Amino acid sequence: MTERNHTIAEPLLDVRDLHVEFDTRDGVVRAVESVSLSVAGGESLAIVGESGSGKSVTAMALVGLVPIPPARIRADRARLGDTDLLELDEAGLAQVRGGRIGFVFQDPLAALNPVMRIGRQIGEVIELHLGRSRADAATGVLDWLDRVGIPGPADVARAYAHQLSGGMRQRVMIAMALAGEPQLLIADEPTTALDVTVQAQIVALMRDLCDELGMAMIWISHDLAVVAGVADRVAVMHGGRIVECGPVSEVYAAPCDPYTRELVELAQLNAIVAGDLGNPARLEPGS
Amino acid sequence: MTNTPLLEVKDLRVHFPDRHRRWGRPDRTVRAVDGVSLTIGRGETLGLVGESGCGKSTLGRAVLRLVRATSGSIRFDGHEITTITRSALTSLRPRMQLVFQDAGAALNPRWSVARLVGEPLKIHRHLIGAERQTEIDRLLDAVGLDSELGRRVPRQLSGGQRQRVGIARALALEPDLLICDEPTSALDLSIQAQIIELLLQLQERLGLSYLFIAHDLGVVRRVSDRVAVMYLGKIVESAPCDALFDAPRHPYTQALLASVPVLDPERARRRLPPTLAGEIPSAANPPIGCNFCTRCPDKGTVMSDRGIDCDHQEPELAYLRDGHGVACHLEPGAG
Repeated sequence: MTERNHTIAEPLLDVRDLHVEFDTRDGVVRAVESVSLSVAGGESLAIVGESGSGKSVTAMALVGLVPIPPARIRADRARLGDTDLLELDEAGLAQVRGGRIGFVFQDPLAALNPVMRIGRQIGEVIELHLGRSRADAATGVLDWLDRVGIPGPADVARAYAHQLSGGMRQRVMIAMALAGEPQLLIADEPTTALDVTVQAQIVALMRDLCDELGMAMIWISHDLAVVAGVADRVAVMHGGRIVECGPVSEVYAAPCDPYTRELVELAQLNAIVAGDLGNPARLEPGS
Repeated sequence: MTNTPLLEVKDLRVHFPDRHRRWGRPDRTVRAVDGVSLTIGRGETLGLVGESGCGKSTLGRAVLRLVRATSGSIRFDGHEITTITRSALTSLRPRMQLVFQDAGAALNPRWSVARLVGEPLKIHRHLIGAERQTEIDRLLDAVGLDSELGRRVPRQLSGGQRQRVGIARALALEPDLLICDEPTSALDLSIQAQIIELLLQLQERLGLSYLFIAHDLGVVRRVSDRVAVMYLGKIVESAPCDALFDAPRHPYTQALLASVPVLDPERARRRLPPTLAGEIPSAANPPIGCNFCTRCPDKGTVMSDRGIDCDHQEPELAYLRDGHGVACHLEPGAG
């Protein structure tokens, strides 16, 4: 792994030598091998890589969202602040999920409860993790819906997930993730299913909210350009390992690892802005 | 004959009628495609971009008559597709083929690759035995697949290999027009680059025309000669590829391009927040005037400079020099 020089005073999340293996009929699949990463409070880390590189499994394994068995998870260290994530039982992990760590997934329609009103789902988070009363939670819900830029929060709170557009649903997911007032937000491909104009809105929203709340973020994505605008540091994953990690501007401008270089060059091919990181001309047939 | 475009679409409308309409309630007919005109020349690639629900896939399917047009005309090599008889359509179908986004879903999971690629050869070209096998091997080779893979079923292939099988099937009947509906959207960047290169090589070798439907503007820029931008069932801008990307004129195209994330982190951070507020209106209830009027940042300028009310007056797609067409009241000649 190529690790560039940087020091984190007091990491919020500190993971050392994480391994995740799956027992399958065709043998053992090593999804994550010897991954170490750390995120400081208020910092934003992007994990990028192609499908199957282990980027989602890395994040999910830390909070008990990977079923054991078939998975086997071991690590030298996995700490969130002064909590050892490896030692927590299921009840303890459930307290961390949605509480100190918030989640935003790619497909909000699958992640939201289809038969529960939006307001109730967000309200539940506030009751469970902040110990507020139901009435208190209800006002909190309207406040969060407003903060994520939803027009008419009262109407949306009464709606069901299927009644909302894709962009609105993702805003609801973000409101739900933030309602537990997390220290760390894990966003797994949060804009991949969205149209480009909506994606731009969601990216701007998440960046602004992170700055405002001083929240740390792990943004998992296959799209190097999407994370360029949000991440402080980037970790590039390939075949279950982190092949390169460093400040996003340094890694993109001068990738050390050959795989990273290939990814950046491929992303440059798709760049539409002239001179975007020195993108080459159009691809000619046979070139 | 060679001077006429391969495909000529005029004022095409595809409406899906409101099946639950009741007296006294508004008509919720979905105007998926609402007055689209476009042409594709021989050997040319037209990129069709737009956000989900704008009607770009419906347009592609209407060209193949997989959905019936409500009104308008589609001429493919001189044949009128909208009114053609079923038997004439059958003989025309081999000449226009479709490549799907999700090759995994488009291929029969129980069939071998050889059988999948051989099926159109059997049905349309009546090839049998060794002759068919030779042709299958030739097609697999053309899309860069080893003939050994012919024995496998789709599940045993990677995503990129499956898409190659989909392309081999489409090529089997030596089509003139390939309608590619998001052919690379489900693929990783490295595989995407290979498929794009394959499509470009095939075009050069076989003189294919492409209608390339995609939401990924970067991919569209790489393959297209001309690009049409769709919004809510209408084409709002159409221009040669470089002109559209370097000097977009319609406010929607400008907002769309400004929303595409940039790779340079410094530039990405300096970027202004997105200019486009709100969301795309429902195609069942489009605005009365310009389709874009509910989100347009330039509406006020149009009113003050030109005295046109975008909410009630619809702009026409007007062509300027160099085949650059824009449907906006800001353009002189539109309206």
